[in-house]
Amino acid sequence: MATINDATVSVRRNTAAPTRPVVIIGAGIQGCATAFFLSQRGQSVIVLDKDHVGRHASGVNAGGVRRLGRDINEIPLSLVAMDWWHQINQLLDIEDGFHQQFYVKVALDDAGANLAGSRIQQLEKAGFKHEKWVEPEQLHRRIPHLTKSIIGGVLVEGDGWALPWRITRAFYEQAVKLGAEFRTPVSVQSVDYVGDHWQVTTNVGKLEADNVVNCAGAWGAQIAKMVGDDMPVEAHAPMLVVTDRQPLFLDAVIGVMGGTLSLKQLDNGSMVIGGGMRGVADPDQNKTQLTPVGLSKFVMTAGRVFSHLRDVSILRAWAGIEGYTADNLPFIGRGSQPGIIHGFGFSAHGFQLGPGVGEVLADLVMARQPRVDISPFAPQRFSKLS
Amino acid sequence: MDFPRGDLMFRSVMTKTGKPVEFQFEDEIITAIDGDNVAAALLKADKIQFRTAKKHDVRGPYCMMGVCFECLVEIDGRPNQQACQAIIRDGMQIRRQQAPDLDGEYEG
Amino acid sequence: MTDQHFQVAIIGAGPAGMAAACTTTKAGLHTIVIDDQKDSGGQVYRNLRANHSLSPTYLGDSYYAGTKLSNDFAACGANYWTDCAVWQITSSHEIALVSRGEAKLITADYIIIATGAIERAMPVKGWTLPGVMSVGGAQTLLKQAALGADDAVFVGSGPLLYLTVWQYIKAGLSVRAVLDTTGRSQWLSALPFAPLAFLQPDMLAMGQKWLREIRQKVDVITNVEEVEIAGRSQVEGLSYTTSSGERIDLPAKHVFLHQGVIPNINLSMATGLEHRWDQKAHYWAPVTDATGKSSDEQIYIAGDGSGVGGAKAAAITGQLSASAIVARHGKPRLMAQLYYKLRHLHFLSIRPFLDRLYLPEVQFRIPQNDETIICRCEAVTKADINGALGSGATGPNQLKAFSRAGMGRCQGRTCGLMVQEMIADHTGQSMAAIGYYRIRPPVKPITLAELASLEGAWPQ
Repeated sequence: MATINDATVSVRRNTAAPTRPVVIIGAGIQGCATAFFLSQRGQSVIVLDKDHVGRHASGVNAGGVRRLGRDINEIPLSLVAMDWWHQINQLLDIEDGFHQQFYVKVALDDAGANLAGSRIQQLEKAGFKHEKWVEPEQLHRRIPHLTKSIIGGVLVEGDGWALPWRITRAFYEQAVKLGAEFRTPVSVQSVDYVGDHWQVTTNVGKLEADNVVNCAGAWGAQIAKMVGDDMPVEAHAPMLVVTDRQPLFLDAVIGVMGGTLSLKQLDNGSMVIGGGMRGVADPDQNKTQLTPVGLSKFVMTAGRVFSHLRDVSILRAWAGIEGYTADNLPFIGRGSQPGIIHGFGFSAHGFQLGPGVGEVLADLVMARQPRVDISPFAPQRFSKLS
Repeated sequence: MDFPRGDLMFRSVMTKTGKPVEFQFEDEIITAIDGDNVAAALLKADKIQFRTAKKHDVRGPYCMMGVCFECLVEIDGRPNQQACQAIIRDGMQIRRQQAPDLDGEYEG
Repeated sequence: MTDQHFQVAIIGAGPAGMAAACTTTKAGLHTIVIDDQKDSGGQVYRNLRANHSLSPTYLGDSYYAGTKLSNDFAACGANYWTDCAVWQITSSHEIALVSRGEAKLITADYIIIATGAIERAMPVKGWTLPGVMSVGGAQTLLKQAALGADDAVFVGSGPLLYLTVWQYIKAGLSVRAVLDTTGRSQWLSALPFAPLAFLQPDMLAMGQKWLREIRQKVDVITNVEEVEIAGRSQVEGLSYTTSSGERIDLPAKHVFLHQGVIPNINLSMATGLEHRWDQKAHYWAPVTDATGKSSDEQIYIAGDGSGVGGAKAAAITGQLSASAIVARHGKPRLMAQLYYKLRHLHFLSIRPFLDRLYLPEVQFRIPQNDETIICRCEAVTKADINGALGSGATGPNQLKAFSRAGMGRCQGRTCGLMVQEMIADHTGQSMAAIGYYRIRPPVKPITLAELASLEGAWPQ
């Protein structure tokens, strides 16, 4: 497993200016983080986005920074990313970038407790010890307002939250400082191999590149198709609500075993409540629609965890457009043709992975071996089956 | 600048009839007519400071039609009630609404 | 969850909503009217039915002109839900509402959004102090609670300001001063449209009468500039500059501000309907055809919410939309449609004049002072907005994230146009190109327990 020391990347600027820049498609957190790491390593980068930086899922997700509850295949990458989160302030020259707390999925009933038990066993078998069972007494002591009937939970110390738009923007700003160029709104119409390089045709002209990185999120499948890769994603719109300010009472992020909830309190007292209930996404029109019944479902779950919140007002609700894969694991890896690298389809849990993905994609561009196994994320894993 | 006269408060321009009721605002008992609008009843009692938005930033009713949310008060323990949309009932307990974690700066 | 279905759902029981309901029920359509107030009338005819029995004369003829419509509506037989806020309309025409602590979903074949207008913000220094109220707010207190404040200062422009001052003096209240901020340039741009306004001589005559009677009792000071309201925790006075450049201080406890009204577009925007920037009236309005049909075939917008035209025009547009819906149910009413269209044009004839005369000058649309608050909910100042613009926010939604402007309970209703115009100033783009905040449901704040009530009872 990677340690924080391995994560230190030396700044190495090429003396000979590269002839063709790396073109990154999509200025969400993955695109911005990749641009940052590439620029830090002296690569020339152009980022294109059909809208603007952090416009979709990367700007408006719940902001959970968690290792808790991840697919076993995703844990090594999540741990590498966490190393970066622990030094995010220095990395991005910001303050309070990461609110380190703890993340707990509570068990509302015996079924939840059983799920928790088998989860912890499964992880231990695979050699991971970061998720731990927490007894009810301790849980209620650490989270005073928790509903009394909750019978424990699975907890990860040191997980927490960040403001998504702020982190995405900080990656963008630092990338720009290091020389990356962002062109928005620019939409990609085709990506073609011409002679010995790629030609990216946009609505405002053509670009030449040796490497093209596809970080186009819910629109990633369209870009993949342009380079001959069949990488299906479905667009969905996970919904969130934000409440008015409440006196500070919570310094943890709360989920539910076997249920859909993520609940946190920001510094200003507002609570952000989400958890994956999906609204309707219309990626062609850049529109999302909230479903009232869906909203009520996860808000009810919040009530089962904190019944004292009954009169708290919801001020806004929203949904970002996100790309989901069939197995809910992202596509990270090389395309079928040389020079194409994919990083999309994060299925609504890519925010925490962002810094790790940026490092890995930068490695792939520069033909280095990433320090985590990315084979579970193989871009070809569905096309092989068909 | 002269300080305004103390008597320049909202007053009735028409005799209204109805059942008199008492409600409490902070520590004061105020008489109104059953069914009066909460914001109006407070203004008539010369209570124009309803809430704080942050320190040194006091607010009172502004639009009276439910759009601006400046008249928020706590009614019978429930926060964030729009005084301009609420109705006075006998025995109602009304408190000014403080911005979270703030000591308000009210006068009168 | 009750799942009720109606042929027509009308949101708002002001003149447009009431008139529309009279028309659809007459044609036999199963109609519901949903309103967030406790009685019909909207803002213009607020509390009319209760006042009517007492008939205070100070409210004037223009107010009692709504009597017949209010009575017709009360008798029309539409389902009428009061105290009921709509917080979302979905693309499948589900209407999500909350009433008395409980959320509900209803559906309708056709929806008429008749949510009226709100006052344009007038962000002078000190406008958030207790004691400052909008003129509409002061008028509502008079209509609903028969309350007024002596020696108030009225500041701004527009017909509602003069109507309210007139009502104040007729009610026996003393008015300290009217400070009219209409500039000479507005008179110059409005004058060419004055002949058109004479198509409505009664409206002009009424305005003349108000002015004449006001001037007999109140100082009306015109061409006022640089208004600032002073006070620490409530209004203590205000100051302004006269046309001759003199700086005047006035002690005051109550200051009422007004500079026209704009469509209340939060619901139509949250519903995802198309909107257009109206450059001459300087506001956003939904895109509709002549019958009020929006970019969604099943949704109509009637009344001031589709473009400000006043109470009489609002009622006509309500009838227009309603009769278009009746026609789509196979009951064409061509003559009625034509009649409504002509009446509507007639009532709009005064608008080009009024829109130009009362479009506030820039100094009253954008705060002149760095400390002046723009977003009242989140206490975001002009300096904060400038800071966000300086650090790279290029649109209203980014600016929201940077500064928190527009993130509070009113959901940008108050600060939206100000923020947009500051971006326009900063970037040199047009207002239309910059666009408005992305408005999302819930259009009105809803509590967690209210929302969860769609699922069941809140856990104890």
